[in-house]
Amino acid sequence: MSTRLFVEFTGGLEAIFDNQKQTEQHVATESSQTPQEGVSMRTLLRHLGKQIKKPQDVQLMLAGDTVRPGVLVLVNETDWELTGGIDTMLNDGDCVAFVSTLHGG
Amino acid sequence: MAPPLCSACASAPAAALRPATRTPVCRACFIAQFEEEVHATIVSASLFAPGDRVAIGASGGKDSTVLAYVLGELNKRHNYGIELLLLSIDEGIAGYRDDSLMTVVQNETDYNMPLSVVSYKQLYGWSMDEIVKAVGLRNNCTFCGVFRRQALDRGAELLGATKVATGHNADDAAETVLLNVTRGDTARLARCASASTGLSGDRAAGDEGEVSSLPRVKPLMRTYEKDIVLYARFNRLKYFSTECTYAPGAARGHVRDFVKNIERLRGDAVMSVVGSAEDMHVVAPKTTAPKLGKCRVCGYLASRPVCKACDLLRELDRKLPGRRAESASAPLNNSEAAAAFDARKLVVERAGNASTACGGGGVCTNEVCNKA
Repeated sequence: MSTRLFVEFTGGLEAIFDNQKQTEQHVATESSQTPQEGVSMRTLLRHLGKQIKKPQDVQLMLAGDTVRPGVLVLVNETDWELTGGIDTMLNDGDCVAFVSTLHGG
Repeated sequence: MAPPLCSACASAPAAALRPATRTPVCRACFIAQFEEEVHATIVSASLFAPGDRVAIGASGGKDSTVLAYVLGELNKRHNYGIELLLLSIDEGIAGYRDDSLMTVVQNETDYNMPLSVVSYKQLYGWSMDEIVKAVGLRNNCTFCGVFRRQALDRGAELLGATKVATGHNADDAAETVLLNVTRGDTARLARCASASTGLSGDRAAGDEGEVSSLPRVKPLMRTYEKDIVLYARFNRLKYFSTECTYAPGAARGHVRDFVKNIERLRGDAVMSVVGSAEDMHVVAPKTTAPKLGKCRVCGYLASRPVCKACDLLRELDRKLPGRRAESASAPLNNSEAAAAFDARKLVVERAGNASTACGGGGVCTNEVCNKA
């Protein structure tokens, strides 16, 4: 079983995902969770980390098991700091946006 | 987990956690708070006076895009009685900022503010690409920083502006404060946290000691980067986020990470760093204030016999002596620049015809460009 998510990369992060801004991701549901529970943000981050082709690009978006400070995450246009951070549960059809603030202005 | 209710209106679900206060707010309240906070900075620091013609250093990046939009909104709402103009600097860096200039062109239409573009090539005879070819990647950012600062100033003056507004934000300011501490630059530390320079007769000076003829104001000085990016997103503002091709990401990169890390631990830390510098009464080594005169090469405002820009141009001429014959490298003097500007040929180009651009207001991540 997998959960279908719409994932957006902006603020320069698209550059590390082949310049794709809008993507559709099918994230395998973990055995500990039922399909109804969806997947956690932690699982999505792991899933996305594997898609970054150049190892040196990983640190542009990720740090440890979370995002690098300065990268904003919005779950259905709500700041993930209000939805549980990396423990936020995502369901089929949810939209997740990763917005880097780490560039010139 | 469902988001909590908005702490301001208590009726809509919160959409953002404010970084400084850690309070949850809904989208509408976020936008309202953001705008009133910028207004409060403008009022408390007396950044504008009725009748001001304000040139906004517009790069197409997040900060200057938000600055132009929010100033347009506040000018209408609070009747500042100021005129807003967009001014972009074209450094001449191919493959970088081509799209960002298109963003600024779009801003001209969307925000109904006239746009002008000043290029290094036309003002100094050299594009950044040519400079990098001549000097390499070591101190090219010094050239860019000095030239941008002066170009923004000259462009604004030619537009008849009374002030220059740039999009520096609280995170930028905190980084600059910390960098000045690491450099032991107490004189700059004392003034880098201010929302304006030159308003009370003190001259705004750049890293290389070059001086500005117009007051500089930074209305987003107390605004967090997170809020700026969320504000742009919630208002669907389009901005460009490419990094400068030549950005080395040196010292400022480390300090930036540090600022973002302390922000995660304690939200108000960013503003506290800025506030510390503001409140500090730095006993700087006694120096006499630079006497301002005119550069004897280009005639522009300078604190030395020859301005820093002309100094750098001489250095370029030494590197490429052959070039001198075809075009002696000196910035246009004031009357030449004014004539060219009137003709709208040499100095100021319509954005649509320019091939590349990256504007002022801190577009590069490298330390010098960011502070121009």
